Amino acid sequence: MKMKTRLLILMIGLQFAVTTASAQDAPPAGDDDEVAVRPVKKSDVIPPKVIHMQAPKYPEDGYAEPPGVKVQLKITVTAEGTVEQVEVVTSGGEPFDREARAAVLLWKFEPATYEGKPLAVRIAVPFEFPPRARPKTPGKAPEKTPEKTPGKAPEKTSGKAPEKFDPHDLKDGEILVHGVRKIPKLPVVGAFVIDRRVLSAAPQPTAADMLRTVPGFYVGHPQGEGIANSLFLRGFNAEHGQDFELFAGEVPVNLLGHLHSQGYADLHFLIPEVVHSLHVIEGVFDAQQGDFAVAGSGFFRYGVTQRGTRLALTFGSFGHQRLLFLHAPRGAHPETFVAVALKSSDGYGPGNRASRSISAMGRYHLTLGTRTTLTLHAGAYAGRSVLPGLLRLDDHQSGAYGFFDSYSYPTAQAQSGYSSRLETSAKLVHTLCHLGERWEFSVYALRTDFMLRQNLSGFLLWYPDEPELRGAGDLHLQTNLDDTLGAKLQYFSGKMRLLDRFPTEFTTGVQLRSGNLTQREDLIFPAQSMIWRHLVDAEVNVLHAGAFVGSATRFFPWLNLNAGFRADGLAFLVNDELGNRQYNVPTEQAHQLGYKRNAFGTHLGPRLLLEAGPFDRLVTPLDQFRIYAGWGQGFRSPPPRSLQEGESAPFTRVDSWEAGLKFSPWGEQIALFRLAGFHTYLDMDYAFDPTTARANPIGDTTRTGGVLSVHARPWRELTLSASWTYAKAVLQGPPLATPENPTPGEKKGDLVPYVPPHVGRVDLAWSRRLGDLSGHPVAVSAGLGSSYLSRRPLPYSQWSDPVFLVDLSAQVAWREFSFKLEATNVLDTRWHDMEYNFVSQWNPSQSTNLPARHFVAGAPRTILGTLEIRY
Amino acid sequence: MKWLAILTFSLLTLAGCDQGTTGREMIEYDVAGAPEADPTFTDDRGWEITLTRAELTFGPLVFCSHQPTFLKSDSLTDCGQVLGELGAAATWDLLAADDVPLGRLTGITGQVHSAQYDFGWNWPAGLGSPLWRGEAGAASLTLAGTAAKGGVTHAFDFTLDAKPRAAGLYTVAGLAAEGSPSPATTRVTLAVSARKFLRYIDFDLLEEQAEPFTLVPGSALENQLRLGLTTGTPATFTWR
Repeated sequence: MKMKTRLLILMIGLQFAVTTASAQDAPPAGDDDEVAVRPVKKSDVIPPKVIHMQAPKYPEDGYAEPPGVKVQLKITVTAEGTVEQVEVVTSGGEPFDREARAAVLLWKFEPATYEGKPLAVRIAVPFEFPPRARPKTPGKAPEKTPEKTPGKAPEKTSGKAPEKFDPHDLKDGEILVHGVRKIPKLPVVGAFVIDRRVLSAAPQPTAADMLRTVPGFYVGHPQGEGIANSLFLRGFNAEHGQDFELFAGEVPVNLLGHLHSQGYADLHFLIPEVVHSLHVIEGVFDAQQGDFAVAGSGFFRYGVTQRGTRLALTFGSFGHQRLLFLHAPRGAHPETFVAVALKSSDGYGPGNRASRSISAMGRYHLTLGTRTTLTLHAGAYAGRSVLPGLLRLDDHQSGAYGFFDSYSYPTAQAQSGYSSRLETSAKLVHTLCHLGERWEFSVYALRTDFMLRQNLSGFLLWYPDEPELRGAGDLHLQTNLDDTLGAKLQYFSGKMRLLDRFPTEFTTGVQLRSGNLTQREDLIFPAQSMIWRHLVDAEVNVLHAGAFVGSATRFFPWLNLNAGFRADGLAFLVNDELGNRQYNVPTEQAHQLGYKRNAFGTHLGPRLLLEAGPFDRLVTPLDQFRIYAGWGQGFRSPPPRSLQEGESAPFTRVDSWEAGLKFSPWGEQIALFRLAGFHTYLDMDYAFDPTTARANPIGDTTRTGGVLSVHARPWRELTLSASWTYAKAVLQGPPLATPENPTPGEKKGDLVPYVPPHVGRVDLAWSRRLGDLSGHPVAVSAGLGSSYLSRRPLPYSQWSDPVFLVDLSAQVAWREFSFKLEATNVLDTRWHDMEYNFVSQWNPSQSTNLPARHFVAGAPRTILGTLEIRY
Repeated sequence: MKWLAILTFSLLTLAGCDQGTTGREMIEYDVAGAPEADPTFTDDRGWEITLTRAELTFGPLVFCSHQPTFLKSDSLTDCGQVLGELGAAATWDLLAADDVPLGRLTGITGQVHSAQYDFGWNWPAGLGSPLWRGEAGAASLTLAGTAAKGGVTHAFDFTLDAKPRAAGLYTVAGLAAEGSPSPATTRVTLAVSARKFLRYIDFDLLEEQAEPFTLVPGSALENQLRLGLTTGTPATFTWR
């Protein structure tokens, strides 16, 4: 008799145990707290898919009256696709329960994913056993052996497993994070995971602007798209990246020893639509944080969750045009996609900010068996921009120049920026067991070209051995060519127990990087780029090897300890072709130019982090609180050409302290408040000097401050992220005396210039379904982003103007079409994107060598409309 | 709601706190010329000089951070960081009874180690020739009077224009000047000495010419007076 095969698959309620150590996306630091506190709809989750089912045996000692026996189990499908934590919800009797348990433990799943990351889910699985009469001779076993292949089992000797498993068909249920936390989990208040909902709330003209959603972050655009953005975080003027470690996928963004700025990080290559999430650690607390992790680290994660093919066309103010093509095959992993973005703009102002760029990238996520995945990546970018340079405030106030103008001299009109980037990488993940033990190996190759023509100081520079060239113009031509190879190998222990008692996880790995840099800098006449002074002609080879070990242990349900240690070595070989130049000494009479040298140095950095809470098991009223405290030592590599022969490559050593708490008065699903205090010490800091267009040492400094943030979702349609950060950055002593500045005027307690004490940010996202049109839903969404930047201290006790900006966006989607309207600076504020106070000479007949305020005009109101077709 | 108000108040209070400064400050103070101590003096060769007219056009002036003995580059022309500027030039009656205001200087706080200045003629970088920044009709230096020794008396009336030797350079550079102007500084007083200006002129060797003696461009006498005006320690500065 053929058994009735109707399957009962009921979703009792999905509960998700979000795992922080998911194989493909394991961040260097724990994360997912943001995700972990938000209720999500089932439709946001790609459910697990059964790849191997095992029918249960019909128990030899089991007998069932018609219509049979039902057993319902609740199981956890882990992020690795295995089955754990089997619980009998509806018992059919011990023999049936036993066989159902035994069978389901052999099932294999393709794990559920949420926003591209595998996660553990808890689901219900029913089994049905047909009736079977008791034999007349008790104790006689059935003659036939049950088949192991579902569907082929003899009717009377096997139970039934579901023939298909499609949770899309399940009854809807609120998917809640129930807080099954996996260790390690970085509990630092300064660790933030910004998901796509917040990232896309307000207009984000570039991927770098996404960083603004991180508490305490401000992103400046001092020279449009021609140069990397300026980054400010927690009291750091990170310039173009010198104080903030950035990764996009497996590939570092910061460039070692860049001529324009150490740690130069240009994010213009990144297409915002392929960024799945942004993970940020503020401070230095994770063992995997390496070079440039002074103020913190940021990790852009690739992923496209809205699958299909997209074609988007954008038009808007100032001749802005953008074409995006994005193909993300349905059914494939979120990290499988190709994307191309072409962009051009006349830029605001009188033609002094025009830009063109193209960015193309693709990723392919490949599953090799059940335990191994391979992700291949390739990307390329090229962009060129006309640069506006700086304008003296007094020249603007006198009416000589308009707010968006550039100086009319050829040396000012010739400013431009060019950059290109080619990168490829591969990441292999091999899982050893379902507890998360695995190896990860990634390798990348990176090539970047950079050329900058910039004159910030006018006609100031001259050299005593060539006094006749005084007034030739300070148009710098900087080129930096960088070829870098790198690899990372990391082992994750998965869940284990320390001393057979305490749940713990352990990780260790190595990071290797080798770079070859060719750097040149000249002062030029704008016509044909004729050189009037060679400044730099150098080739630099850098090798960076780092090793780290970290662990996270839960000693009590309310007490976690993360401990880590990192060791780094950096070796430099510098061939400085213009070294040993001496003024007023005829070189040919004494020596030939050139200074070849090498340097090597090491750095050891411990990191500790303690998390306590929630205390509901100790003191009930405190179940809404968690407290944290951490300390870590990090480093920043030196500009290679600043090193002398045999020097123990000096690092900027960073000591980072932080303590804070999280508070969720109405439950973390509704609102999560964070409050933290931090203190950071640097034993050698740098500040930008516009005259030389480089950062110069200013001695040891500290940052002390606090951050208050809230992430809330009071209604399903509304997401709010807001933060306020205060930081005071001060010198701990006067800078070292130099021949150029034998008696520095700064003293202990003076403010570090350019650092905004207060930074505020609000991101608001709202979306809902309006109704149906021709049988298809119409969805609308809107977003708001607002940034506040307090007055910034400038050199010589000047203060910049504060900045307050509001951006808005609105989108409507129907069927395959969507239209998005974005407006930045909707108040049309006249604001200074950057301000400096330094010496320039832009009026040859009225020369002055005293500092004056200069500014870069911020963008006026800009409106962009994007029509997108998905298919 | 209550603690939201407290929070808002706290943030506003915090935002309004005195944040301090980046240390050095932009300052302004007066520049004044001290009177010539004695219009009558005897030079090293025994000539008794009596000045009836002594006018110096002074400025522009720059105070520098560099030590004048700084060896890495040309110490006479490289200023390092500019710590004060007097952009204009003023003609100063050295025989005036009181201090003569020469202008108002803009600068920044810090340790001054050296000074550079012009005598009315200033040659900005990028220009083909120097500009006169003093009063119309004035000269860099005008000295008139008599020189007497052993019953011989010569009358003289010297008018000198001292110009920088190249664009972007000052006529006097690398002059030691030690001071530490602060926000409390109200004045820097400049003192010069006509005796020093005339120290290279030997009235015994003056060629015969109709008196009063005057300067002929390119003559040895002109060079002697130029050397006296621009070398040695022709000026001292006192901040208060």
